[in-house]
Amino acid sequence: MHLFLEYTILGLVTGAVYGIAASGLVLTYTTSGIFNFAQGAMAMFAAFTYWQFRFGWNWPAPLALFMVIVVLAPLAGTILYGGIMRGLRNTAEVTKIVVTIGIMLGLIALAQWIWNPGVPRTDQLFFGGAAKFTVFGVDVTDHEAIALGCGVLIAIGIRLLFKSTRTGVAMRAVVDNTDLLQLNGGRPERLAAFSWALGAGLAALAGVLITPISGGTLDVHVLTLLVLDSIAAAVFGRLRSIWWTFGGALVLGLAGTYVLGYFPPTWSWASNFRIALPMIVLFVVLLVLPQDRLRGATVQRTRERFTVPTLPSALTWGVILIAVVLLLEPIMGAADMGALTVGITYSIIALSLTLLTGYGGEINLAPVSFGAIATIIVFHLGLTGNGTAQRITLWGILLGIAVTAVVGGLIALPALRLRGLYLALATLAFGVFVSDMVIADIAPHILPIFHVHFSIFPNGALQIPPPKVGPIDLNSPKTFLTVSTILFVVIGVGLIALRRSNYGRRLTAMKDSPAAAATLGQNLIRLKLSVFMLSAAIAGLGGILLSSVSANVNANTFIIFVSLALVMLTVVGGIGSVAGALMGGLLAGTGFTALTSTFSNLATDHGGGGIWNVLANLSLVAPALIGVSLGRSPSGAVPDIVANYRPLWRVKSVLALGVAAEVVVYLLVLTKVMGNWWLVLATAAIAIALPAIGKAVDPDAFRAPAAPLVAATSAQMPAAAARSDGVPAVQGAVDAHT
Amino acid sequence: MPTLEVTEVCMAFGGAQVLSNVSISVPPGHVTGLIGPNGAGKTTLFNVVSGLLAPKSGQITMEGRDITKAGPAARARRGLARTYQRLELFTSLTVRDNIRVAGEIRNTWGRRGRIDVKAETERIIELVGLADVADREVSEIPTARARVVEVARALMTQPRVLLLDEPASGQTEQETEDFGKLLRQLVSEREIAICLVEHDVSLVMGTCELIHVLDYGQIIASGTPDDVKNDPAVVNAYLGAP
Repeated sequence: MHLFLEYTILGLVTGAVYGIAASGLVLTYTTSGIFNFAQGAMAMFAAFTYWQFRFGWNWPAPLALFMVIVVLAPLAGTILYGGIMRGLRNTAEVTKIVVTIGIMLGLIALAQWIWNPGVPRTDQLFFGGAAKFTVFGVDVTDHEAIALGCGVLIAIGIRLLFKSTRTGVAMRAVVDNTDLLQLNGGRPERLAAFSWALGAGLAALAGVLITPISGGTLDVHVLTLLVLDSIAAAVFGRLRSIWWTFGGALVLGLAGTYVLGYFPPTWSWASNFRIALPMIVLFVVLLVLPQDRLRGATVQRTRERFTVPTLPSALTWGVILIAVVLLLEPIMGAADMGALTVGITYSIIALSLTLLTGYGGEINLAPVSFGAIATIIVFHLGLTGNGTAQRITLWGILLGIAVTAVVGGLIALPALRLRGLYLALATLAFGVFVSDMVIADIAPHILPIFHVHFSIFPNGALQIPPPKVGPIDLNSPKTFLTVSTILFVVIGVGLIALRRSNYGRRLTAMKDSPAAAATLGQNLIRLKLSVFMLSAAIAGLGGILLSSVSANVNANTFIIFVSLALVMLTVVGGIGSVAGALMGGLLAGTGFTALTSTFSNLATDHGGGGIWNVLANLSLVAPALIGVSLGRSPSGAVPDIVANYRPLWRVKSVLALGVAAEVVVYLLVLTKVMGNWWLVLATAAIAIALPAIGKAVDPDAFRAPAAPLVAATSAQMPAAAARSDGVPAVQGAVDAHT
Repeated sequence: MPTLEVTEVCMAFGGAQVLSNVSISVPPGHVTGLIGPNGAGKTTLFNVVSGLLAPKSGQITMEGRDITKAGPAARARRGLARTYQRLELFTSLTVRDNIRVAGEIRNTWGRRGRIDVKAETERIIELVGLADVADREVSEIPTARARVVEVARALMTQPRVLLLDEPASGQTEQETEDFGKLLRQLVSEREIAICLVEHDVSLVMGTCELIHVLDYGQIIASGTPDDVKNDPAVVNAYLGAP
């Protein structure tokens, strides 16, 4: 009984902190329509900042708390809203998600830059561990009591804010109908900024409270994920009810401590299970949530614009890509080729996102985790031979892909009835689950029926040999690179063909207007399920190749942040195009890694040259900065680049000049007159100079083509859509926050 | 027997009653009008009939079969199609592909009644008069014509019942006249049942044989154009004194 009470109190305290973080999520989501994936990272950053003030600079605790929770965090929240979130109106769900993921990854990189992860840091309980009192014979520290008190106060406070104040009522109106609120004299902008300030403050409070309770060690990833767990509580409240959110948070907290207390210690997976529990709960909650109703006219015209190339043009560019890679192979060393191959395999995984998100409008936040599933299948069932002669078989690859597709279907099925955001959350839960339970299953245990020792991820590291299919052996880096590139092109062109087929048009229809597609007789769930499974299969293939080219994979290969970075960079490249997937994959797999290691090497070579270290760290933060800037150009970089170069077709002389210059440089590098880096530099210089030269030679070709009709009607369509039938506004407000 | 029969349907959003005991019938081979002032609940009724909203109570039958519990796609497969007052076009597709994809969706229903999508697309484009803009992006054409794209898209599924939500708003007088002719042609050639929500009184009076009038979520009158025109309640609520 004593033990039970102890676990109950600990569970309630953890639950209260989850509740605080989750209520911040609900608050920002209901007022700005943006689900803040960075909530966990904000909490983490606040915990570090508090440590800096309190223990780094020895400020008194009240001052440090005041600065972090009341001054800095709300300030940061306001700036985030004003500087970034406000620009996301009329963008697709995926753009909004990716921007907050960018902030998350940016804060993680920044924290690792400011607070060297090699130095251990611990936060202590408020008033120390000795300050405690006894309830029913159980010791409760003052810190725990404070956390519980904060939770209760905040639950009541937010409830009162929503129900009883003018500001709160207006905040609920923002999401339902911003235009209507504005017409009635409300100030949606100011309200949303206020909610972001409040949300950031709550994140900071959660971060500062939870660190000492969970052991006190400050770890960037652990803290971020810990608070990210509170998403489960927010979903419990259907992202709008504060009561249910706090209820869910308490269930989470209690379940976690009871598992810790009452699962037999002989169950080796119990501790992994406890860590994965919030994500398992999230998944279960998604199973039981009632179906969203299809609302007409919820999809306003988004700003993203994608054009689909014709098949001949796609084929031409595919051949050009293969040719470029073949030309590069003779001048690259094995290490360079390996790095480029990693990028290409990431690009293949990114193609799964082009299909799912770009064409189908659904979101998968854990594509690399699907790659992990395929890798594990191949490791256990798809290998042949021994030692250096060991290879992946064709059947192994096919089995890995098939299993991944089926797993993908099972993961997606419960969320397909719901809004796109919920599918994104389900995949996030899956990604964290794979890390916490599947890949963490490293110690052998005895299988019940077969009585053999088995672990899913033996010793935490898998050796994955190269594949061999018939006469094609990917043992040499050169063959691996060539074959991966050809596979990318085949899948990429295949996707474009698919998009132009009747299946692709139905996908587009579902993405543009689910309501219209349904009332024309399209079974939405079946279509979503098929596209998700196909996409998971592609991610599986890419994952097998990625693991194989990396040769040695471990928990870090498949950590959720790798997936998130890939998703973000693919959206940055352009989620609607195959070229965007190539760019995203290369940036995630090759680009920024290469930059970081180059700068780090320079720093070591030059005896700790500060500037190189700064640049190395900057290139870690850079991807996040680019991700955050998406609000300005939500269609991604590739359409911008294409628009920039397209007029060059009409200035053939300049184009020929550019190609000639590139050929000369290439030949000089090939004959070893110049080093490899010159090719990179010269190509960059030519790429930048060419449009400028073209413009100087023939300004007419570069003049923007007149498109008055587009501008006129795209202004007209939202206006037509804004003719409200007056109904949804009432409906949404009434059933909210009950 | 009417093709579409709505019986005693009630619908509320929170505390606001938007449809109370609404009963209408839409017979085959005729255009049936549904008129009433803004906010009367016409679009909500369409949403209930097409399965986007579930009614609180009441029954909806099509050709004698109860479809109250069926989802939107299942109703479409029974032969129901609709257009939207707030346009729900597939904005990434051209006009032709918007229409074509509806046929392609129709062909996923099963082997029975499969259509030749390509030929049917061209036939319907010709029928509704969209040939001159067929290859344009659907977001580039004027709203009045975009509404016709919605009609064409609905026709591609070969419906038995067609719900049209203000299809003619924004059209010129000539366009409206042609549109009325098109509706009469559709009902007489294919024996389909059309329910038309429209504010253009002359179009409604000229094409409909039966008119239901909705006000504050209640049917206040049903009958022939002449009955309705002279009904004092309708004059008071919607038409105004002549």
